[in-house]
Amino acid sequence: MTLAATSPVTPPSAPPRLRGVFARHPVAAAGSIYIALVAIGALAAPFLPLQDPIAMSPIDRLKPPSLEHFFGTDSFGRDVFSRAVHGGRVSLVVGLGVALVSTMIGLVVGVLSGFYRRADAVVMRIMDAVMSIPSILLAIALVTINKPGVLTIIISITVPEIPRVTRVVRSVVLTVREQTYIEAAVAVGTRPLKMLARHVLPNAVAPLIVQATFICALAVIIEASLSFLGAGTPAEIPSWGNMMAGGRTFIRNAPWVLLCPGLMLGFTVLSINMLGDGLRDLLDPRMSRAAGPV
Amino acid sequence: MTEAPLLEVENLVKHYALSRGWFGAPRVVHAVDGVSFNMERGETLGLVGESGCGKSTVARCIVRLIEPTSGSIKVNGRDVAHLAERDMRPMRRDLQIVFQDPFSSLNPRHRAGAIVAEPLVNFGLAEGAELERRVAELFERVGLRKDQLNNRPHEFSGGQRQRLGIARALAVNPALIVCDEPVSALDVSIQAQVINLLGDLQRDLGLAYLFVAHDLAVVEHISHRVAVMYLGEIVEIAPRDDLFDAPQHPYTEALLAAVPSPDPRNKRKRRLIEGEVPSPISPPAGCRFHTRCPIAEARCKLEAPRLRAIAPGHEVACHLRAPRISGKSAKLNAETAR
Amino acid sequence: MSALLEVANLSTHFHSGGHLVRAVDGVSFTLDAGGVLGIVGESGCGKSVAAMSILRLIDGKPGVVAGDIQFDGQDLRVLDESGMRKVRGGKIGMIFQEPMTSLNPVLTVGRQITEAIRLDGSFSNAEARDRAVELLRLVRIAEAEKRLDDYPHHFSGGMRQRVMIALALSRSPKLLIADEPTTALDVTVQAQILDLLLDLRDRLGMAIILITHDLGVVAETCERALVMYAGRKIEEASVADLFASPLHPYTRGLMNSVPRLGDETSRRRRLLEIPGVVPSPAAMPSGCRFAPRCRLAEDRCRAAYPQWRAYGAGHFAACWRAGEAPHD
Repeated sequence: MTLAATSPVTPPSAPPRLRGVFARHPVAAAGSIYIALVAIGALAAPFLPLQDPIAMSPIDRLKPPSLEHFFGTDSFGRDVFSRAVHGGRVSLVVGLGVALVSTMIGLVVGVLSGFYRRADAVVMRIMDAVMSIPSILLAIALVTINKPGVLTIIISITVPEIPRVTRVVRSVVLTVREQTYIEAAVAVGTRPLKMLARHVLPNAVAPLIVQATFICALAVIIEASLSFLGAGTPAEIPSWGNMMAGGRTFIRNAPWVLLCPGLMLGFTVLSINMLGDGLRDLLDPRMSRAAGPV
Repeated sequence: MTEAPLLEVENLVKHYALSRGWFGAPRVVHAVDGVSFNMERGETLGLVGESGCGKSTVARCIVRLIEPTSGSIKVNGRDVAHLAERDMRPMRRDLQIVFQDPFSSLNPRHRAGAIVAEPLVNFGLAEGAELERRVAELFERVGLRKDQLNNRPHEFSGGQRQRLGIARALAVNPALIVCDEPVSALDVSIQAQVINLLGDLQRDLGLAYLFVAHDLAVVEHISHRVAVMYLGEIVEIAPRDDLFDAPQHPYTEALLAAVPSPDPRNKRKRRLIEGEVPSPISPPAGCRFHTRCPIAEARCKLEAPRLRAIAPGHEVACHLRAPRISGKSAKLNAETAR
Repeated sequence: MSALLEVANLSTHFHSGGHLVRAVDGVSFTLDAGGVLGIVGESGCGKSVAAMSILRLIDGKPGVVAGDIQFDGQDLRVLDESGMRKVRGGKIGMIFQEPMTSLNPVLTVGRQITEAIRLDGSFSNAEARDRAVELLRLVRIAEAEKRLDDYPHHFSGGMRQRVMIALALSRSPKLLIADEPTTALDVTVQAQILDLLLDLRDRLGMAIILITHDLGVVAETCERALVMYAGRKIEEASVADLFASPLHPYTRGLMNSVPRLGDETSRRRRLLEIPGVVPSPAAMPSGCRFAPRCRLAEDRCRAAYPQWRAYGAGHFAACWRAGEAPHD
């Protein structure tokens, strides 16, 4: 026997088997498989037998898709497929980075706001103000001050997303505070930090994960938009937004230069959202309770 | 007696401010308005009254889940009414609570063993194998099986969940357990099991219970003394037998008369009192019960009666039933009222 | 006098989680016009489901309702849905435990009552309003004309239950089904409502089915009572007989497990508890369903369900050992 008092908290019912999950949510399954492929490609890109994404080859410019170049080549003769796979790196880093940072900051702010009612009014008004900053304008402003780079992009997308996370966390904390088991924990002398860790935060995990996937999808889109506008990833690094910007002028005679990264972006965002929807159903306590023993 | 009583509650007041509009005075809910009583070790004090009378608020103030507006709550002589949570924490080893709702009072994510272990861990009373032994012992004590240690709350029935709540309260060996309607959410056949368990624990461990309930028959069964509350005030407090055999306050009489008797031969012609409990936002002036009282007089509308002893340990707040000793006319009034 | 309601062999079964749940299993009873019948049992015994089945408020798809229901010369089992709607809220009125959820919070009480009155089409608006005032007076709501224009949240719990009763009476029902009507109310208000129900029975001559878990409520208000356990009727008798000489060990157990007010001998004595819990619908014991918790259970109790037998005039029970002398 182990006493969970000293061990980490586990969700209400044992996690359903992966196969069962996929069977119940084929949409989420398809999404996660696609994301996994993009992620593996992006991570392993340097080691894959791909052509150099940066090396120019003027003889091969604007070649249509073929066995040699799956997605054709661009106006500098660079292999579009290789660049698209490499471009996933930027999207992945930005998507995950924004999701992680905004979730962490939002979690802390949300907990403080939900737990300490005096801070709440002030914090939430600040959050309202932050939320009203459009991330694209913030990014352009930051880029003019700083040099463009992945870090700048992450910061500019993260800031306006923090309030969203804060609201989710705060509402969870406010709901849990009203539960009798919180009073019971106070009555048996549970200290505030332990109260947070054992009784409050576990309830916030599920909605946070779901929120994080949607923020991740949004971040991927905004990064691509910024790069497309030239306020994002520097031109020398392949990213889907850069590639689309470069293919813009050749849309009539070489549509693959724009379409291939565009479709990859679209499918990635769609997949992340599908995964998020699936997670929302799976992590819903009502669903898991119905699935578990009654 | 030199030793301080286990619990001394004096002039306990809890007011809630309702959010006021843009203009006008703030409205205040008089949840508890000047409640005083004592409790000795090992005794059960029943606290009864209808919804909104403030009995649960008193219970929550005593275990300091809420801070009273004013008044004092002395536990073993030490006032805990306004202690900061940090200073309150060590006092909680003497003061525990069992809640009404056996569902929401247990964290659904935690295992039964962990729920009962939490107080032991919090106070550093046991760890490792000793902790496991103590938890298993508590399980046995409240009639749960050891193989249920790893189950989660939803795998237990309502009665078993209430046993879990009791085991959690017992873990720190408290002197007083506040029971806030501990059986009213349970089925009739399960109520008896929990009431008997509480009785056994008191006999074996010398616990004191502040037993808050609306079910008068249960309170009569379990209590040594009983206090009746109405709109935030105690209107009568007496040893159990005195209160049930010879209730003095008209409200106590009305409460007792209203309980349906499970004996059809004994269909009493009921004396129903009219109306319902007034709002605690603007309680009636004078005696708070005068709006429903069958024997109220002009004086009752003006002057609030104080609790007065009419027999050892039997106090009543009523101008007519517990008149001031000094006035001759008051005595006369009381006699005509009977 | 012929019976107002005759229920024969009523069964309501659901499919839930791969199990057949026999919520109500072969329950029969009759109720005369103007009679007051109590149905007693703990949560999950099927008492509410039985009432809902009579009114066909059980959703047809997941559940199977079988049996014969004759009400006021009509066979409710063959009545079509529009005919059934006329019966519900017409000849049969209903009140429930939580009056707040049964009233529409955005309409005035007067509007809700007049709408109910006008459902059968024979009242003009003004007539319906007069009748609504009359109904509110009938349920002893003071200043009835004024209160018609109040919304449900302006009423206290007991007053809301009175409004619900007025609503149920709006089309002069012959039968009122009251499902735990006083459980959510304070004891002094409960007494007022029960008193009101009996008074209305006397004045309007309607019959009442009172569904409750509270033996005291049954003893004070009903003439006959049936006790249910795990979907089955286990005992039926006049209230006087039932309380004077309960036959079924479960009935006896229920009576002994509640402390009685004003009973000096029971003070601080151990209550006689019924051990164990109600069986899960998915794992009903074969034989007598109470056998696993019964002190008197023997082999035949576990082997076969006991016969429904008469023990004296109008006193029935389903227990192999009901005829024997009481053991506790």
